[in-house]
Amino acid sequence: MPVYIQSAAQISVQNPLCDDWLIDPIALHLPLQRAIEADYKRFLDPIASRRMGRILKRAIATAVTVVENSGIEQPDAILVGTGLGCIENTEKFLLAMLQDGETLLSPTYFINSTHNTISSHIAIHLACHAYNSTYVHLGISFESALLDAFMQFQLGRIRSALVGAHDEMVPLYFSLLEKAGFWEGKTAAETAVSFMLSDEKKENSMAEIKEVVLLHRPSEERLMQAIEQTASRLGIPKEKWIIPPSVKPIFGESFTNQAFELYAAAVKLQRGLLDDYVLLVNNYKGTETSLLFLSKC
Amino acid sequence: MEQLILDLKKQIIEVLNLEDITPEDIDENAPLFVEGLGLDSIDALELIVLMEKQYGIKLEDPGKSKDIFRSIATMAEYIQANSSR
Repeated sequence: MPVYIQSAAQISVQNPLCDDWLIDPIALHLPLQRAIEADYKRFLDPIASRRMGRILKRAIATAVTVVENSGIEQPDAILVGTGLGCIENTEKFLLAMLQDGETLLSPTYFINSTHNTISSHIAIHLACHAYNSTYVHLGISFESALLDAFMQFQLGRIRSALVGAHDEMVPLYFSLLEKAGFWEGKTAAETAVSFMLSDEKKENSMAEIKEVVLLHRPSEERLMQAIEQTASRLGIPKEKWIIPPSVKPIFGESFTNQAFELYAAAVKLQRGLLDDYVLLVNNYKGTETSLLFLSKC
Repeated sequence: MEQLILDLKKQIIEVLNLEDITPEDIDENAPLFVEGLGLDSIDALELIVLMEKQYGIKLEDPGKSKDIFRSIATMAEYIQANSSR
């Protein structure tokens, strides 16, 4: 069953909920760059938003945007990938725990520090009772969520899915990552990307997701074999699949930045700025590798 | 009492993250829950934590909570009568 990206929206270090980055990207100067926030009052009333951390507001805003743009109000699944979950509220909760000797803890920070809060909040906001799941697998969190959606499509269980990647990066956690030598020379950023997928090709469909492959510690030979086999199965020669330049210099890096690679590729495919067949490769610290095969619609 | 009510309003705005609301916007005699500020059960937990953290008051009898948290004025009266700080 074909899977089409009907709509995509981002909140990042670039201007939110638009494609300004394509023409005039904001240059990244700092080792850690927080996201530029959208105007959340358009999406949430103050009473609903007052308990939400920034990651939840971003998730709702991008989700509502793809719902509006695609016209699919009730997706058959909501799937989220997040490397760190609601790390800002987790940090507040843990700091309060330390300061107050594990007593007098705020319930709000606790409630909003769990990883699956993100997909749950999207579902509550959309009043959507469909399949709902969260993947927390560090560098392949997003691809795991996408693979779940892709498999559900192939099994005929769903005809639409809202798939997202959401990650915060906070100064304290970032400083610990830096001290551990985990983030050398890269710009750490934040991710909020939502995609609306469906099996129906429409006039405004952005791209088709042809295949999603996850490999654990593949050798170079195994990786090439997987690419060749998938290309062959899809009926398109290996040479025709182009790996575009990474958009990390534009969006920075997070545990879920592969969502930005997919987002950027879909935007460019829709505008004819890339060749017809695109392969996105993500290798996370030499352990997990993902392959996303895309084509223009 | 006036100062205590003002402090309480500021603390409630901060702890409940009531964006765009100032102390002047809150009527200390208005109901806190459902009407007025429209608070809910999670907010009630936050207010219980606030009472203990800021004023050293531990609410032992849940039956009294409804009267204590009726409004900011009733909260202030209870704090003035029972605060250990």
